[in-house]
Amino acid sequence: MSLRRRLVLLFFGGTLLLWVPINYFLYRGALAEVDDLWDSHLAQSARILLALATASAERGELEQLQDMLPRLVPAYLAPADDLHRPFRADESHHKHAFVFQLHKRDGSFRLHSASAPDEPLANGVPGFSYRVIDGTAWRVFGIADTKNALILYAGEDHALRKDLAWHLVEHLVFPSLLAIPPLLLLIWLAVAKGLKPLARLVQEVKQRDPNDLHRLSSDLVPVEVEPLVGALNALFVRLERTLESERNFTGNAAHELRTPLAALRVQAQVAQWATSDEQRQRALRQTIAGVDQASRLVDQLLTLARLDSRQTTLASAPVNLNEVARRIAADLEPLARQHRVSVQVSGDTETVTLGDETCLGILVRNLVDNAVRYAGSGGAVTLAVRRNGLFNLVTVRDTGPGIAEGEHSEMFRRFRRGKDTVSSGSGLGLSIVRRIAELHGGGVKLANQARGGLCCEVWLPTFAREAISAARPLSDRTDSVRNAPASTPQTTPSF
Amino acid sequence: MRVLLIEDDEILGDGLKAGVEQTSWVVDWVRDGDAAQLAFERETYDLAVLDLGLPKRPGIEVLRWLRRRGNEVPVLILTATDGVEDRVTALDAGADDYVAKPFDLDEVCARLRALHRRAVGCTSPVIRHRDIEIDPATRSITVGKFLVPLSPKEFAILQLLAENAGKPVPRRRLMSSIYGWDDEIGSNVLEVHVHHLRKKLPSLTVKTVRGLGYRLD
Repeated sequence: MSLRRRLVLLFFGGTLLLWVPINYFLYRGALAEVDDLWDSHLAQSARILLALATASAERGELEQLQDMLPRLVPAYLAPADDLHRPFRADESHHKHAFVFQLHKRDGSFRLHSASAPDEPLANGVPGFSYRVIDGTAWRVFGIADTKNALILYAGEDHALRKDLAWHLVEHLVFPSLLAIPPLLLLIWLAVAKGLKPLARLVQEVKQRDPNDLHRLSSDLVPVEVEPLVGALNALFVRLERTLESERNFTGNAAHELRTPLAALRVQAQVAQWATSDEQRQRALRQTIAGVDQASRLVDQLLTLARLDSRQTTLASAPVNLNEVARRIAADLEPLARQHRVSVQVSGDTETVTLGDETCLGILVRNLVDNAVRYAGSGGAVTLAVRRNGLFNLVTVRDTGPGIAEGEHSEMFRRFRRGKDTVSSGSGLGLSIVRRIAELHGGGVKLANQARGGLCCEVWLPTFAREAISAARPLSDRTDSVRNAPASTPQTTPSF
Repeated sequence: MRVLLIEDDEILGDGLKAGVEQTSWVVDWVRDGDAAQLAFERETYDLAVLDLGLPKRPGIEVLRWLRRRGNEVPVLILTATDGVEDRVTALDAGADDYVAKPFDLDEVCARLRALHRRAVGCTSPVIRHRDIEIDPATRSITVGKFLVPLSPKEFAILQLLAENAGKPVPRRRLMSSIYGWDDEIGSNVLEVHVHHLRKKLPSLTVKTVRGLGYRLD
């Protein structure tokens, strides 16, 4: 539902909600006024009639009153025609409009107006009272002349008063009813005008180029919308940062692919130009090595892209890291032989982590692969998997040159290579290791060993069936990396 | 002709070195920015091929350092990015030309030749000395209508002498243009090459400048 429609409905509903009780109280007020007015009128009429009756009685001409009264006060006997006509044209009520009953206390005299009921309107009660006779509610004023033993009841149809009050209110209500459509229109217009800054904002955002991530100006927006603009701007900043890193990544990826391509092209041309068979064979060998290097880079790029997008949901099954380590070490045996590096695996058997076996395999492979490449000819790589309390530690040590202390954190940046390296790594291996470790609620750190060489340590939560964290999907656990024990490395032996 | 190649990728560097050496030039190959600076301090180069993405010290820094020292060696930049920004930055920092990866080896060599021509103030791609025509692009020597076969080292010596015709070229300069770091150098090898040149090209007037080197009159 649009904000505009909601506001219009709320305003209008609110107005109506107030309008109904206001009119009710107006009606009640009018009724009270009419009551007061007509009560006094009724009382006065009664007094006049009684005064007439008293005068007649004292002259002993009470009987003649029957003839005289119509002449003197025709309004009372042909009652209320003129009085009520403006309010109601319904003739059936008129005969009830005003009635009187004049009784002598001993019953010797009885004078009723034409439309008065036979039954007495009250039982000797002086003053105002109500009485319902034959379905007609009467407002009665009784007055007595004790000297002449006369009682006069003046009565009036009470419904008439309600009618009159209703009529009075109607005159107020109808104009206000007529005001409803213009009111609705006004509310509509006012809301539209009030929402204009919002509409302008919407327009501004809508017309934006997807690449335009400039901040929205908060000068022209109302105070209430400022937080929204602020939030939008914050989102733009985040988006820009994400896009920037994505652009960097794709840019870097392209860059990293261009170099092996250039190498392949150059080596192919060298082979083409070669003047000796030996030269040609060498160039072709280099071409093949270049293809291997490029495919390794493409593999890593794809791995990282998949890990980033989380398109592939990570499986969540218990994985024995020790088995993974042994399998990967066996897989990398040819590479190690090629580099003249020995690889040794050691570790506990009970090293189970909940996670994705393929990904954890990629993690270990990258660690060992890196270590083998940097260990140097005749070097050694040791891969150890141990359980340490809540964490499994995968430690890979090599006999390579290590990495300067200050650069350890730099190493996890994508496409970043160690300054002392001569090996043609892609600069993605450690990024992949960290990403996978984080996705599993773990982490990674680098350290130089005292006797030389790099030590890379990955910690991954141990799998315990009762662990609550096991119930959570893997993707949610990235945040827990921050909570991962920074102190874990304390448990590692001093290198 | 001596070229310093600064490239960190093993296979690309190897290919470039082999490719450029096929054109009878001598290539010294270093793999990072620091080593490049050391090489420039140690040796005089006729040309430099510089990759911008280098470990230890970015290529652009090496270039700025080089120009600050007043070294005017022509520099060909290898860029991996196709954006203009990097190229503009590199050219403004003192690069003379650039090629984007992946590039054609022929083109790189042609650009290097062009850079060298410009550096020695020669407009024609073919160097003429009397009746001898030296074409660096095809590495051929023509005397009249006849092609004279020369070994790569002889060609390099002749080209260097012809480019500096009338001026004495120091021995050291001649040696460094035919031998890289990796080559084993015989003691009187330069004399042997010059001797061969004189024999193959009788019209050539190579004068020995005592205690200095050779001069082409």
